[in-house]
Amino acid sequence: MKNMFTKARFSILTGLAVTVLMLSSCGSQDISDPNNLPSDSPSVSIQGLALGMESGVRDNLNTYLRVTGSIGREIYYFQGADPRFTGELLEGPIDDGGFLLLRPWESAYRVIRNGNDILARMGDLGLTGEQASGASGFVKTFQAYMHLRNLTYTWDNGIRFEVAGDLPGPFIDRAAALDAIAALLDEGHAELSTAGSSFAWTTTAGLAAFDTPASFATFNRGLKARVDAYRENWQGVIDALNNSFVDATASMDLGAYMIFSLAAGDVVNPIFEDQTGSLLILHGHPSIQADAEAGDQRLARKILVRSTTTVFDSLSSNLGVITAERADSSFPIMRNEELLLLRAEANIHLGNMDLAAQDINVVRHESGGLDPVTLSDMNSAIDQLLHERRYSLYHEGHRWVDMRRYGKLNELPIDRVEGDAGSGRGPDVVIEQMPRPNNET
Amino acid sequence: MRRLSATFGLLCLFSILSMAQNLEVAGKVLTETDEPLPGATITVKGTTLSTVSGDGGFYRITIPSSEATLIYSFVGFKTAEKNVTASNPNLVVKLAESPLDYKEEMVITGFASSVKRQNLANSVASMSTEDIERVPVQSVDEVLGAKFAGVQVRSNSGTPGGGMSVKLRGISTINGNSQPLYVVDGVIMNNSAIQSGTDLVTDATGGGGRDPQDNPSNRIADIIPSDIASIEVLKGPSAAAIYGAKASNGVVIITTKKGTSGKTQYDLNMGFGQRSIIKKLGQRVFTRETAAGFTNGVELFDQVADANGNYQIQDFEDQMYGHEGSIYELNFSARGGSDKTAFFISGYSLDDEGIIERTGYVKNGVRLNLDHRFTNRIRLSVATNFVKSVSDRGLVNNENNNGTTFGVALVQTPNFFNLQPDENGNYPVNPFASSNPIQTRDLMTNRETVSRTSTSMKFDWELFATESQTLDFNITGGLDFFSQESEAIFPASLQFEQLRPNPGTSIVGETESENSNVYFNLKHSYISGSGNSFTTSAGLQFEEQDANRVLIASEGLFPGVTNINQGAIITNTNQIRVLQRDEGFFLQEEVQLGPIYMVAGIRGDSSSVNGDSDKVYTYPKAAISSRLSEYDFWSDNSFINEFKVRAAWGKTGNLPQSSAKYDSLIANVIGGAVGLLPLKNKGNPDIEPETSTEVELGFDAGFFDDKATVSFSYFKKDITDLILLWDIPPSTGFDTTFINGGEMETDGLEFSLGVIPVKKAEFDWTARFNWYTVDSVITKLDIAAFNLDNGGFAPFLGQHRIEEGRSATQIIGVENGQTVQIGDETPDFQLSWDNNMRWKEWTFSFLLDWKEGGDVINLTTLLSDLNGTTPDLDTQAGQDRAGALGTTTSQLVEDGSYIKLREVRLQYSLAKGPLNRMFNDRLSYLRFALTGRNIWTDTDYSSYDPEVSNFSNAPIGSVEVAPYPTSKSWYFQISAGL
Repeated sequence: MKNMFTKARFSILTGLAVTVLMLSSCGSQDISDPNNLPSDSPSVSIQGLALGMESGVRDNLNTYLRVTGSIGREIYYFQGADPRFTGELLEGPIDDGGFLLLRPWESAYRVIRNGNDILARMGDLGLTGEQASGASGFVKTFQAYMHLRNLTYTWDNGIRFEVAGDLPGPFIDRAAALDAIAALLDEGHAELSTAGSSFAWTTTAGLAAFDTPASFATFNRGLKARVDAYRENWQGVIDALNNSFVDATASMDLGAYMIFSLAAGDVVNPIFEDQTGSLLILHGHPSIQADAEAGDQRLARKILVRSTTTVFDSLSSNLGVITAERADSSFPIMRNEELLLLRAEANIHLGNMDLAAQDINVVRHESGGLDPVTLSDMNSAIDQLLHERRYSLYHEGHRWVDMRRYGKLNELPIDRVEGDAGSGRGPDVVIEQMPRPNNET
Repeated sequence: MRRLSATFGLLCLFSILSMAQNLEVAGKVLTETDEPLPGATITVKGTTLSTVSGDGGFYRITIPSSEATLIYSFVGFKTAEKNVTASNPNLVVKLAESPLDYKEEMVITGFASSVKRQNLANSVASMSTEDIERVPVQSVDEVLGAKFAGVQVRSNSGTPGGGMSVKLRGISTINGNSQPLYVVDGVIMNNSAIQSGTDLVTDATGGGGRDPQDNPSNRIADIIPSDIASIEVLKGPSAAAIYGAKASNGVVIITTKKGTSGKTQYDLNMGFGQRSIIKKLGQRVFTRETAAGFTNGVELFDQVADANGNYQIQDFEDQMYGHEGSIYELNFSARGGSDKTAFFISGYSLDDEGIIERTGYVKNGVRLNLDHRFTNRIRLSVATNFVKSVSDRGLVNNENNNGTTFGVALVQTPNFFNLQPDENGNYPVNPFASSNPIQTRDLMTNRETVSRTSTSMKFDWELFATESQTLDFNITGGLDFFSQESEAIFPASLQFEQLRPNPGTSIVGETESENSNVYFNLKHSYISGSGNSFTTSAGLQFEEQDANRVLIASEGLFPGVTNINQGAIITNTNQIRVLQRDEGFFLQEEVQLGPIYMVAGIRGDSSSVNGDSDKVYTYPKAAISSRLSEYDFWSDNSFINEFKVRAAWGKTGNLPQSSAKYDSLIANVIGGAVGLLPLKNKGNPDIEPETSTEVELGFDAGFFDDKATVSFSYFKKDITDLILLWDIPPSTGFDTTFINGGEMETDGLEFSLGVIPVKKAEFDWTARFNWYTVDSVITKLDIAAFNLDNGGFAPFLGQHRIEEGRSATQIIGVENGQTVQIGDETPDFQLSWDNNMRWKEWTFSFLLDWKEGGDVINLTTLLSDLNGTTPDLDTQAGQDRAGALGTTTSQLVEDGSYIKLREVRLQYSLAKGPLNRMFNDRLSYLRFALTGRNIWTDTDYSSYDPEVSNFSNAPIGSVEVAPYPTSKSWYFQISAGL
């Protein structure tokens, strides 16, 4: 009996010891996010948030370019594993819940949200008055850029503009949206002018030419010129450009860029493909070669004619797109070349054909190595301008937008018409604009 | 401590005093054919005293009076009652076999309690070793398939090493965890499925799906089926309520084998088998004209075709899926022990090749289970287990890189092109896809290596025991730890690697996961003189999950090296931690009043993953059953010998994802610096568990002396506070947020019939039918109808959509511009038919599984249509289907009905006489068996298998995208006992 008792006590003690041990390993149940920085953490800085703006701008740029490029008949995206790039985008209708619409839309608003968070916490970031003005001007410029990108998607279907609160504000139509974006750019511009000589953070190399409040303001005015062109305020375009970085003597590529790299956690250029590879996904639309002027160096610089013609889904192309040389090449947000063409466009509408021809010919010469042209009547001048924009801004997201604002979508080439032998596909159509996402209703 | 020992001393005194008038009974329990029956329960009627027969059927029990009635029971045998007196204290009892009689089976109903099946107020499915080991499986969840009403098991793909989705009584969640809670010897087993990172190469998430589709296995596969003594499945909340906030999807309770005192017994089982594809889809025969639809098609066609346009068709399916994989399985176990200590030791080894070369599954494990009695009242059980598994999974399923995965690359390639390497081992460049899948298969690695150790400890202390009362204290503690290493290696020579900026990719993932829990339970039993009993149990639970996953991708690797530091550049790094702590308590009262059994209980739970981590959510339950056949009014000679009605009600919960409540910023790398952006998922600080409340009504009946048994149940689950991943309007800057935003109702009928058509000395036959239906309807939705993430890719490609007033599993599509419902994943019914026949030394069993209805989204055919390789594209029907893409969806959504021969087994067991002569009495049994799994399928479904999921364990959605085709397998087994 005694023996049993001792043993029992021993095992009880062991049991209790194990219990206490295990209990002590149970910690608090109030656990903060083990993976990410809590939004309300005091270590959140303007450096991190501002770079977040620049970084977020690149999110889903790949989808945005594939959509605008495919619908604008600049490119084909031959994706054997997904029918939507050569189906939905070329045949319609657009799925109002699909990733082609939603992903770029979501990413743009995420950058806008980040900007609104910066504005809301400006007082807690330890900035001087001037630094806060600079941050605010920077944020509003990028917010305007993102709003404009979404508007180029949905166009007449409008965008939501007031999105700072927990619940988003109403959709506003295209005209109101363009006005609101222009006003936001103006606000930002005003703040940049009272922002002292430097920002409170270091921008990326993509904004090397615009890394002070004063120089950044010239980028802001470039965007304003684009908005004014979209809302056909031609004098506004000229006024904005006068304070922008437009320069007929400077490099066509002077401008603001998104930067990419192969580093861990970073993203790569969405256009780059190894042209020596066995198979390409991204192809140039055959019309870009067919419609080019002989000797246009823009074509030679951007399109590689391949020996293999890729056939997919009853479409074919032997053109590779080489606007990105490397996986870490930058992608333009806005370049001098576009500003010169915006100035030409405004001058055409204002009747200053000679001024317009001057800028167009600078671009033709500098970028295309082409002889000058003269502009006569309005219609042919616009056609000339659209031609230059097509080649100068190839696959930078402009063609579809340009043809749409001039009501010329019906001039874009149609590849598959009903009854094409063996295709079972088509007829192709040109999508006018993206619908409102179904999760915005 | 002093007071505790004083109390303990007092208890001992009691037991010494009560020993005064004892009667020692000893005896033997045998079958009718005089085989010893170890494991039978012998209970002293009207008391809490009981014992179990040991080796040779011997038992010994001490009765605290001079006479008593002893009850002898064993599952599958008729219960016997015998009187025992001091004059005749030795009793040899023979029990009569009754295969369908499960009345005496003890069913675990909670942390500290179990109840006889005859009184059970729920329909609880349970399985014994024999059922589990009938036909070999790779993963334990597979054995549950088609065995029970209300238990649906679907393989997500045919990849060796598992990847199974188990649904108990339909769906209980939309966006929450969908898998049951697995409890092995009291330890919660982590059943996560960890993605290997191949998405970095395949970009499967690039086309709409938010989650990677890397085809992972789920970790319940680490349990070795031959170690299992029994499985119990608590299907719904009314049965599982005591498991509280983790039990909405049901609970699978697994108990491993234990040692028995007596002579050491050895069991050896060896199996050899072969695996092959169930179904091939066929090849399109091309002509010069149809070849023109491909890049350089005519030129390449002309190179291989003769003047009449005939050519040697490359049978890609045969080349890729035609491997006849060999299977080898070995397990060995020993059990034995003394009066005080018993052990069970086992070793297991499995090598199972897939139907794609260089894929397969290897699993090795050892187990040691020890039971030790320190005293009559204090007992410790320890179960330890180590398993190592290696799974080579190939590269399958969806992708968005123009054909990197095997299946997608194959549907892109016309069969007049030869993908095989030349005599120098050079693989031709595939001009139709970004990869040559034969090359990819031969050179790549996608391997999961798991090392897992689980230990559980049960400490039982009978604090107090009299003839009519016992008080038991129990501590159950467990630790489940695994490390999973995933290696995805794509050498630079692969065609798609050549297209990357830095060819040669190595993706290394390392996950360490630790689940620990400790439970304290106290149970008091009281049995009155008239036989009524009252059992009160209460307990506390503490649980913690701590997991850490690190993934690193390196590119630009030199050929021949795989270490991530050998690459030119690290392109991706990722780390995810999961830390979760939960606390709970329970209180339960069970009352047995003659034929009436009642139970009521409550569980309370708090968890770190809830918005309010301190808030205690309560999960009550109540149930009653009555054996009407025990009442006097029930005629003794009625053909219905047993009839029980039952009603049960209970609640369970399902916890939110551990990240759901956090509002955080995520780091974005740009230009070598870190930018901060809001997480795409907006945190919800108010997130709560979803709650499932179930009512279950039913009856169990036995006919003609249990020659036939019937069980019927109706259940209805109301799921409230449904956790939804809401596609918040993206203009807020967020994509999603988890909300408690809806209600769902899931109800169903379950009907089981067991019959013994023949029972003769030389031949008997037992058949079981299980039929069930289940339906889920979204009864309330606080947000707009939405397309289910991981439930398809887009409405025009077939998409699961959650919509108020509609079936939760509906599939929508676009028909001529209109979005309409075109299908439903939920079958009309499922029926299984299980047969067991014995003739002399032969036994034959087979299991048929019939699923009627239930639609599947077939995107494999879509992709082969898109790429022009579907075999029937030269027919009008094929043309129409391919041309309908974008206009209609119904051609992509197919009826997934099937009838499958799940299991078949033919066994010869050497009779005792010859066995003893041949082996000099050394062997206790020797069996030979030929078994098969999934060897026959009848279905109209046009692609590989209607059992499929591109999105692994998504609660809703059967979506096929060029999967690893499923296989059938044959085995020859030899087993012997020593």
